[in-house]
Amino acid sequence: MFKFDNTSRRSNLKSGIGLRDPHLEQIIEEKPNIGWFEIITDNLINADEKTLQMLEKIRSDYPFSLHSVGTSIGSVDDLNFDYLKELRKLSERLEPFSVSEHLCWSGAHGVHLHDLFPLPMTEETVLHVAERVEQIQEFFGHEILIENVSAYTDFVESEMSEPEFITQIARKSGSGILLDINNIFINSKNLGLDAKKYVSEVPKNLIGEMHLAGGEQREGYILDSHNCRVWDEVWDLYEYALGSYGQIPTLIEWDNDIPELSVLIDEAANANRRIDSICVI
Amino acid sequence: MRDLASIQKDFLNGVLKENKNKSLSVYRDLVVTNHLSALKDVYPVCLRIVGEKYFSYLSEIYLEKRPTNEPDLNVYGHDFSDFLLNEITEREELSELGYLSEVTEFEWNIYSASRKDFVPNSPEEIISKIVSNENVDVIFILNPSLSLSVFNYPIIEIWKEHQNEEVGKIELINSKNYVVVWKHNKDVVYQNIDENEFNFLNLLSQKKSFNELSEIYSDKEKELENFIATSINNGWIVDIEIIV
Ligand SMILES: [Fe+2]
Repeated sequence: MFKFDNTSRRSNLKSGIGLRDPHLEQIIEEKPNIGWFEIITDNLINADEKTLQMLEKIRSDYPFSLHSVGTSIGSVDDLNFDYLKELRKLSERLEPFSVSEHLCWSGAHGVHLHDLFPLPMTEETVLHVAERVEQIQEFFGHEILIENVSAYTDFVESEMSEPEFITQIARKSGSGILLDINNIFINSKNLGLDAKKYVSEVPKNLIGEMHLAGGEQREGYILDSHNCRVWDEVWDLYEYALGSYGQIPTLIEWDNDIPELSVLIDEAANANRRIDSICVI
Repeated sequence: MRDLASIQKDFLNGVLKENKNKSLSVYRDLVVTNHLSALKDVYPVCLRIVGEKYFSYLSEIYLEKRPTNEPDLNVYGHDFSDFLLNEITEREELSELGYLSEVTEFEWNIYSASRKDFVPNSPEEIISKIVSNENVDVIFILNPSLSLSVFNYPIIEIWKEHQNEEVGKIELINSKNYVVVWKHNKDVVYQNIDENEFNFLNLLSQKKSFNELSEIYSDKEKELENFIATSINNGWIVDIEIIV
């Protein structure tokens, strides 16, 4: 039985950035001042030995978090244990401080569409997902973090608010929460949620990590594009979250149109400045 | 009220087919774009042959007709060639492009070989293993990146021609082409082989043991010896396994 609680073991990590191919060599050579790196595990399934050795080299100097996108936690199909085995193998090799996956589904009824779809927030879903998170944690032998996703639609069937939904699943399964501040902002714009209320409703002791990212204004909605700097409104919401939760390891997510390493380092410093001025440990 | 299973079913139907539901069409666009770009990475020659617009069209139909259950997007498109084989027979506009399915099969073999990671034994190591196990039966282990195809068109020539800036005229002589693709010292290589070599490699892929092979080649002992030697030197055989 697992029970994530950060009160007794608060992390002293501040901001981190995603470790992406174009920067690997530069990071090994220059050892830049960065708190930690996030690895997308899906990019490493079947990675060659040389790449893994490069990662291990970087790992000897920095903490890692492992983040995946393909588990499809909320699907009605069985969990794919071949896939989970690959994730576990990487985790055993890279020894991350956290392992996380999205609270979403990517396919069902024998189809996988490689996207992060939102879930109807019902009692049925809570029980279904909590049970699967438990299975995954049993399989990994440790707790995971589940992340709130951005959405472009919701379901008339939903019976509870999003913060209630993620909190109930985390409590029932014993997992922690990876709170994506940008996703809360996007959903507040796309679906009309109250972003600050959301933040205030998620219990502080369940949060193991936060995400920040940039979005793209499209016609009638904001796309969770991860291809630019964090928006001002998202920084504001982040400051509010830091005021509510205190210091939490925070990732700058940037997955498309990946910029120079210096831009990511600069965004990470923008997060650290806020942590330093708002949080008293 | 719909349960989770039917909500997911309706949602997927909405995403996989063109629809007027605005919020689902955002997901449809994302899914279509994502899978298209995965296919483009694997099939640049096919893309060149049919052009950007028609490739996008094929990619959408492929997604709809043959959605995968594989979470790893890196292996998306494994049966694109087989899908095209069907489309060629059904679509007038593809009737001139009989070789398209074979070119994509070749592209998939190259792509898959490039992603295989293994530490091969040197020919000397393999031979010394064989010599030291002279008295027992063994199975020859094929290079895990190796694929074998029989093509009806000169696929290597077609593929090579499409690496050039200007594609010249290719003579589409209809004859059997036996092609092997494999990874050798970090590079993906390919070669036309003859039917006998092809058959031999096929037997190896069926894990026939040395004793079984000797029986099959009982009247062609020298030929068998040559095949084994060539396969070891080319990096097709990468190890042996002793049968207990
Ligand atoms: Fe995120």
